[in-house]
Amino acid sequence: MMDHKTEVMLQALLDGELSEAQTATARAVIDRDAEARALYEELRSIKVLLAGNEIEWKLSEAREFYWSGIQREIEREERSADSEPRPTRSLHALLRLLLPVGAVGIVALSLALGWNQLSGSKSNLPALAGSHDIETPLEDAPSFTFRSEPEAMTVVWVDSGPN
Amino acid sequence: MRRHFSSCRVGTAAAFFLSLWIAAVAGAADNLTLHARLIWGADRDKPSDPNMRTVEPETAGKLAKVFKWQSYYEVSRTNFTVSAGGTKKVVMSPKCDIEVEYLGASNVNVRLYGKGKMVVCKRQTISPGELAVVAGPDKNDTAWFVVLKRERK
Repeated sequence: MMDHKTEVMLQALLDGELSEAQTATARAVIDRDAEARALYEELRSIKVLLAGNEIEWKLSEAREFYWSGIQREIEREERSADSEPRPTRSLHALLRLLLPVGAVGIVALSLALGWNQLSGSKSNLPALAGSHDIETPLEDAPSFTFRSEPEAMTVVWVDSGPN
Repeated sequence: MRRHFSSCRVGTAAAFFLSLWIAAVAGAADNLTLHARLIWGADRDKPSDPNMRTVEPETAGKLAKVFKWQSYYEVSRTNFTVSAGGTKKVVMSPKCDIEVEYLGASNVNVRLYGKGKMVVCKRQTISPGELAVVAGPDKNDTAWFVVLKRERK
């Protein structure tokens, strides 16, 4: 019965991980021990079989599409992690100017939204500038968003959907 | 002190005109007209179903540049209008519905339903002339696409 140490040595010999001296020792073991020789041949056959028949994993979409989705997700996380810079003394005058502007603007916007509600609008959500992608995969369908600027196209890819 | 007082007056005047402009924009009538199509993407010849037709080169070309499939066939199409704050649900196929909630200023909530169950809900922006696509894999290495296009003004 071969010990585990010898088995590891034979595997390392097959993977080319032994020094010259260790290789010579391993070869000697193979020459004198039939069990070691059989194990080595079996491991070598498996290695050849796997190398020749390795399944190529293909993406179901174009490579750029797949990696753009990952890049977009990374950028989104980086943006949310950025902290806002603290205003310096030189910005205090600008803030004093903008405070009344912002306050009256908020009041005007509230009045306008209230007018929309009175005229029969159902939505209470203000119109936000820019795209805020909020995923709500209620059916546990994994999905991600991809934007192609050259094609002026936004894609939501859902991994499961209706046939 | 005097400089601070005059900058506040300038700010207040700017705020007054800004508030008038915001009220005018927000209160204006705002409808969203969309063209919706259910498209099937594949790498094969045109299916035998006579109701399916080849997608025009402009749209097919855009899809082909993003996705791996080279052939695109239209299953169904419909046009509809959603008012600001309103919601519209349209049937794309016996198993596929799409619902659009218009939030105003080009922002929409798009909900896709498969066999009556919501599959995904996504908030996004649809600008005139652009495409908003919800897509997913189908059997035999094909894919389905619900393509929304906003009418150019």
